Amino acid sequence: MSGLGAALQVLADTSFWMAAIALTAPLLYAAMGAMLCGQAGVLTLGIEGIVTSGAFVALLSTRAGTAHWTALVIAASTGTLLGLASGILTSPLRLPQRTTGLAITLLAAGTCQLVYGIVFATAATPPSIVPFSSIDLSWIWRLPYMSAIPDLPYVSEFGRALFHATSPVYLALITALAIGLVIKHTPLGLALRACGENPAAIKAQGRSVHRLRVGASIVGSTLMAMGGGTLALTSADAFSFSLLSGRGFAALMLTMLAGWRIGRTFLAVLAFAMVDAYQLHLQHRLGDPLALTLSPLLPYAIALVVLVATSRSTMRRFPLSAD
Amino acid sequence: MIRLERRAHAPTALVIAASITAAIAALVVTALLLALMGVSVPSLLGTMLLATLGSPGGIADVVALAAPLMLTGLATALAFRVGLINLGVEGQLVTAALVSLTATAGVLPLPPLTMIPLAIMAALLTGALSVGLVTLLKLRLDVDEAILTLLLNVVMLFALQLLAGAALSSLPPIGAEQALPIRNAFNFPDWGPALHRYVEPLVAVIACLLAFALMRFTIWGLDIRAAGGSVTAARFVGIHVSLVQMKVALLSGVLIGIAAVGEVMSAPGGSTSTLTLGLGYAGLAAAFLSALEPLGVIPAALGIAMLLVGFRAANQQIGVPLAVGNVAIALMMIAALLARSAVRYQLHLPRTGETAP
Repeated sequence: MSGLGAALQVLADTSFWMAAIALTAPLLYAAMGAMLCGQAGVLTLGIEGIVTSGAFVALLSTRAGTAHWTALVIAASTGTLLGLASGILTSPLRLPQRTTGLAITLLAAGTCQLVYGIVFATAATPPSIVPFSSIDLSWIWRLPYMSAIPDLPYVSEFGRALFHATSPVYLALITALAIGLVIKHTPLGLALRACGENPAAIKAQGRSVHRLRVGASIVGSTLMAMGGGTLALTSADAFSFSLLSGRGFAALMLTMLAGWRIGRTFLAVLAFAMVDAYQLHLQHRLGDPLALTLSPLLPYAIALVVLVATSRSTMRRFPLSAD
Repeated sequence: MIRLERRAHAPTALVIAASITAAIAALVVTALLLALMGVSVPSLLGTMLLATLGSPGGIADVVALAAPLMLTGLATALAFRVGLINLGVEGQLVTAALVSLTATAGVLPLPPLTMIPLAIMAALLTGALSVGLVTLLKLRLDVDEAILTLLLNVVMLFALQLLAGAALSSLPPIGAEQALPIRNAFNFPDWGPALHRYVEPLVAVIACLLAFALMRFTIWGLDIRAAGGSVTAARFVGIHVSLVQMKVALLSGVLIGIAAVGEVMSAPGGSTSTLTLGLGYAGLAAAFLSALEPLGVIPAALGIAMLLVGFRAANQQIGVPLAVGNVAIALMMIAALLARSAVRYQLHLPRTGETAP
């Protein structure tokens, strides 16, 4: 088989698409959170720490016996608290956003690692949980007129995977859609966008920039933690911090290179997840060859290049505050 | 009426007091957190004091760790002073260390005596280039340097971890040792560990003193302070701001390169060197605690090194996870930022006969 053929073969594999969709959902939550903050002019470098704590809290509460959805809510509320803290520090207290965000990331992730080290110090194996089970929506194919859709290569594998995902995945898609509608078509969304593009306009209206920004930070961080929780509760593997390493920063990077626009963010997240799933799949198929040692860097490298290449136009359209 | 008002200039004594208060506050919060998790704080303190100040060896350990922290702290402080938000010292240090090891790993047919100079040159050059490149991208393509360098940290750490076969972690414990994937080849002369332990602290202190003199007494220092204070004003008086930023970036990269050389040479020739993780992030805390003043970096780095050496001992002896260092460093960063913004304001007390404005 030729190299290209082998490469394309992966795309015809339903399990590849299932992995890609599973990787998309947590990133999508986090990216939506980052985008919501970004629209209001809040740059959240705390995202990596917030995603990590969401995942870790979800793991802890599931192991303590709570139901999956309850665990997800608890995880999300961790994000709410962190968002409140980082919002207050950067908006009313006016600390520089970038350095404060990095400190929040170090603090949140460090605290999780510290608690992990203390709680699971004696455990011989890494902690694992029973993940969310997937929902079977394949009856959609059997609806009338559905048979009229031709059985296209690649697309039907994608469809099969899409209709066999876990419920947080569907919620992620619905959330993204809802956030898009709020930002584009409601007065609140307009105020948020104005807050990012021209805070003076908000002040002139007699509204509080601080209140909008802290609010965006709270809701955004809640979504980020939700992403972390989803990652922890949909993954079949035992929990480890390497499971989520860099996912938060990746979501922020994808949001930035998409110029803080919703549709583009969604596409960027999907592309990132596909490249990631692809390299995982390839590694799995070829049995971890030495040549693929650095392949987990592939999605990050591609996204970084795109980020640098597009930054001039995105920064012109949406300049970030300098500090 | 009592109100807050902005100060024109914060007195040095106040800035120093604010930094010390910030560091102490961060440590108190860390201790409270640990107590909450059931760690015995008095025994932890005892272990930490004994490991750092209890013996000449402990003091030597602190000094050896303080040296790279001074270098990364100074590199960060200088960059911030000129308006470059370089959060990527961690990744730049890893890059310089990897290139330095590769250059000496027998790729070039050179006599053994040239190995140490080669390792030094390779690291300094890589450090300067990596900061310089990011600055170039910022100046030419409007890339946000804070985000770019932070992402490059993740990529470089992942590369190091993948090459060394370690688990991936974007934020590994600060102060942990990571074995470098390339064997160091300085078989002759075997001066590496001695250079790392005795010469590097000296170099680091001299670098801080020189940077202080540069900022205080030279025209270039005046340019740096002006460009960092207000870009518009600096341009107005005819300072080529981009050029000043580029020069500082290269200088800061060289400092990172020196720190990388120290890590590469930490082990005797022919064995595996280890790199102390988190030097970039801890250096960031040192820079904030020093209020971006080169002289302040020396005590800040010594204090943080003491803390990290203490945590390392606590990890080995009473099993406190190393991640406690990340929590303490992060709290120090937040406290130092708050302190820095607090000293800019003062309470305005009413004098007799004064009417409210």
